[in-house]
Amino acid sequence: MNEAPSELDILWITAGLGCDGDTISITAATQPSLEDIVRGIIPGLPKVNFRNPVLARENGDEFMNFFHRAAAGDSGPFMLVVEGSIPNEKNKTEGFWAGFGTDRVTGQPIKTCDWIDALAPKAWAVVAAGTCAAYGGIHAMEGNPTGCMGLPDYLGWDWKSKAGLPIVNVPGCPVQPDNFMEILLYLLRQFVGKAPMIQLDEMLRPTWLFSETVHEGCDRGGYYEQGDFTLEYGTKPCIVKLGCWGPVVQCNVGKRGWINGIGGCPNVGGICIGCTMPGFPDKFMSFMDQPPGSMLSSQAIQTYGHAIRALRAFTKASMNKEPPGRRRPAPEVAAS
Amino acid sequence: MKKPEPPAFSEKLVEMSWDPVTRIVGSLGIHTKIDFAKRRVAECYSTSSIFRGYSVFMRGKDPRDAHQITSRICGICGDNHATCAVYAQNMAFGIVPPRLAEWIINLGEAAEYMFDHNLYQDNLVGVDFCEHIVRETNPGVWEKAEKTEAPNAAIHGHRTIADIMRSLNPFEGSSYLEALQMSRLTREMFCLMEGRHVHPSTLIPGGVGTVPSVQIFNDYLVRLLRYIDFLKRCVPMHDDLFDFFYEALPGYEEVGRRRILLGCWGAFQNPDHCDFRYETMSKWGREMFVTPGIVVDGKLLTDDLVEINLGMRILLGSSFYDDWDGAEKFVTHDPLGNPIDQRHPWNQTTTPRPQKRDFGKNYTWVMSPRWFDQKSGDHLALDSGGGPLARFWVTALAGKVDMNYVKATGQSVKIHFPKTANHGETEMEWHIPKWSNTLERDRARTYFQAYAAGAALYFVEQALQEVYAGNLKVSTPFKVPQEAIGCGFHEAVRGMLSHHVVIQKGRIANYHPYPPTPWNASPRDSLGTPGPYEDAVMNSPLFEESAPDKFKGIDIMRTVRSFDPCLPCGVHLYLGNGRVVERRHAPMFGAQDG
Repeated sequence: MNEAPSELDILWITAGLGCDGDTISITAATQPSLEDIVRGIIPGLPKVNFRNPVLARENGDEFMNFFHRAAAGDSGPFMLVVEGSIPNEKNKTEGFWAGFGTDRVTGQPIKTCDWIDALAPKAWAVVAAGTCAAYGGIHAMEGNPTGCMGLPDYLGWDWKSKAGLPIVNVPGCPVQPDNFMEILLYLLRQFVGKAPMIQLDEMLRPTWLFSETVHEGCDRGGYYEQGDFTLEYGTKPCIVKLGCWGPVVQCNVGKRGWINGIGGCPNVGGICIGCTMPGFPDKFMSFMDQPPGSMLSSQAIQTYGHAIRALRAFTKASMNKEPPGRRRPAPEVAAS
Repeated sequence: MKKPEPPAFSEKLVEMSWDPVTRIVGSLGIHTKIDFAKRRVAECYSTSSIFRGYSVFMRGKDPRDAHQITSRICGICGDNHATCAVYAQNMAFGIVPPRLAEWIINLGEAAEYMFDHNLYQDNLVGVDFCEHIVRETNPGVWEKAEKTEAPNAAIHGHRTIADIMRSLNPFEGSSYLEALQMSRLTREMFCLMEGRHVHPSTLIPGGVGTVPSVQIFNDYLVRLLRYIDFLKRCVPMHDDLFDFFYEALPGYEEVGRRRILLGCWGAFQNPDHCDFRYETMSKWGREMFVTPGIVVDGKLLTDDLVEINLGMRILLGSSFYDDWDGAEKFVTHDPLGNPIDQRHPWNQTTTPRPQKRDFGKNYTWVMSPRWFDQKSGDHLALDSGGGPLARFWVTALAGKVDMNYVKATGQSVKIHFPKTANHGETEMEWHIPKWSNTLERDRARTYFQAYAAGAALYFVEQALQEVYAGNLKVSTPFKVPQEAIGCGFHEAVRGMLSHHVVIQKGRIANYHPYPPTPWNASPRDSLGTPGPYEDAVMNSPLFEESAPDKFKGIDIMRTVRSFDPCLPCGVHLYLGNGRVVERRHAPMFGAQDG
């Protein structure tokens, strides 16, 4: 493309099996904020038309027309964002698990799957917002009636958009607000030719945000190193024995916090339940049991950790004393 | 059971649907028939087009996981679910959290009300009152707004009503943009207490994992004071806006008006009284800092959580599920010996039956919760008034709440704020309104932000007292019993919320959450009673000035949104290309076997 296109529609479908939590989450973002993008505050980005049902001014058909036009090939370039997991509409004889808008001819809901089938091939990029859309998430839990799955399970893990982009997964239940907006910003820069192809790992996550574990950035990592584990909620030591999966979960929330650096999971006392991971939730349940893999590691670290802690206590006590000589001289005896 | 036939009519009706109704959470469709000659809505059907199946996939799971799982029901008030689940777990496990844990949860939930009402009011509902929309749907009203001075201009800074409307324009107006920012501040407050928004990381049965310190409460308090400073401008601005609509459009009180049938399940536990035992629930329920109760025709019918629990009935009639009449009865009697109905959530068996949408038969994934009134024998289609209206109405009438900054008087609720950065001491008072209608649902939402902020001031003080006294324990250990039942009652942001759990062999045998939206968005039940959205929209007058081909349905949209819909599901309404249907009777929408 010689001349970079100057406008991009973001068509956001919340009608997967989800909770709209990812849309709500991004309204909390500040790096950048949604209004920064919509109002064109950041230099060099395309004009963005943000079509999301939770935030749209338009209603009903007027809103759905954005999607109908795109499906008919009558719109400019667009990014498709899907929120919620994708049901298996073939596991029953009639009806629907998830619909979005009403078909004007039949009067029946238009299935979310039909929208994805119609829109994905025409999209410049396809983004899965949240763990449900990325991997299936909570609604794909064992025993679910809907047979739901993630977008790559539905479209295929090797699927590529017409511009050559793989599906971009932004896991998190919900997405960490700034994580999502940062990825969106990246894609907008890529769209206008100012950034190279987005780097994704084999599970289609942006590598710069999802390659480290919670543990590697955890406030409680120091306690772990000293073999200090708590069995009581609401205390400061490492909570791996309470069920925290941080040591193996790829997520930056412990380090980034939830909103403006505040909140998170193990850093503020909540066990990590692995909500960014493809294996979520089944492989992490029962959430409040100690992860089996941590039995050995926490045992192993205890011998080393306790010794280190004792040595540090000794050094710390010493460092808590001022060097000699820092005292006010004794009052001089007045000459008689 | 046979549904009564709908009233016969012979007008020219135009079918109009809005699907999806945007600016709500979830997928809601509103399908109507409109009588343009009389400017009224003749019929309304509310539909939800998404099914996920929590009650199905939670069977057999570890009861300790219930709060983590059910939080995911909702992406804007998930923490209300997690909290309600924790209340039910506490009852089932027989545990009481330490006092400080209750103050932390109350502070988190107060922040949720502040955040959610604020975002919803000024970023979602507010758009229906913004310049762009009002100019388009009611040019006459816009013209008047330009000329009308705002009575509270000196406080909020908007000279005319039109200036207020301009400030609500999406992504442009100052009130719209400020609400986005304030919603971040209040979410920071939330995260200080519950870790993550909207699916909290630190809630657990028996308390919280939050590490208490002087710091987190101070961090919360300074943000709260900034928010209160904002509210001192925000509440009078909304009063001006809503009062103007009554004045500019005489008769607007009829829009979205329905019989006063309000339910509130109470919020903010009082750790001086709450022991989470079912046997004492009537007593500790009355001590909650938002009083639970049911108001019918302006009278407080009950404030007893046990009575509320016993009256719950889940009806079918227009929903995509199999009936559970002959299914397993998990709970025959409550712990007090009262019989439990087969249609009570404890005994419900959910079996989805996907099928075509048929307005003569089944048309939605939402069921029909009703409250059975022993005295009248009626199955009442209670609504939540969007949450705040019912909370205020019940709390005001009960006249029990008194926490320094917030006081119920019997006919009003007074909220007192200390001085803040830009405003002096301020008292606000919410009065019981004459109607349960669209504008009063919206007004209550603004005032409840103040209620939650006043309550939070009190909770911060209580929490700090515990910290100063060295009472830093925030969790109570527990064991999961082999057999148990539990129930939790709470107020989701948009209204009454209950969770019912049955534990057998140490696993979840049955779990049924009832959030406000099934109450509000329910379809016609097996007795023929329409749900509250349907009922509030039907017969509602229309004040929109647009011709039928340009019709936006703004009065209908305002009504539906006044309930603060949160289906992770949908409402559909279309117009513009409305199809004209001429019919003499409407039996196709009528009789149906339940």
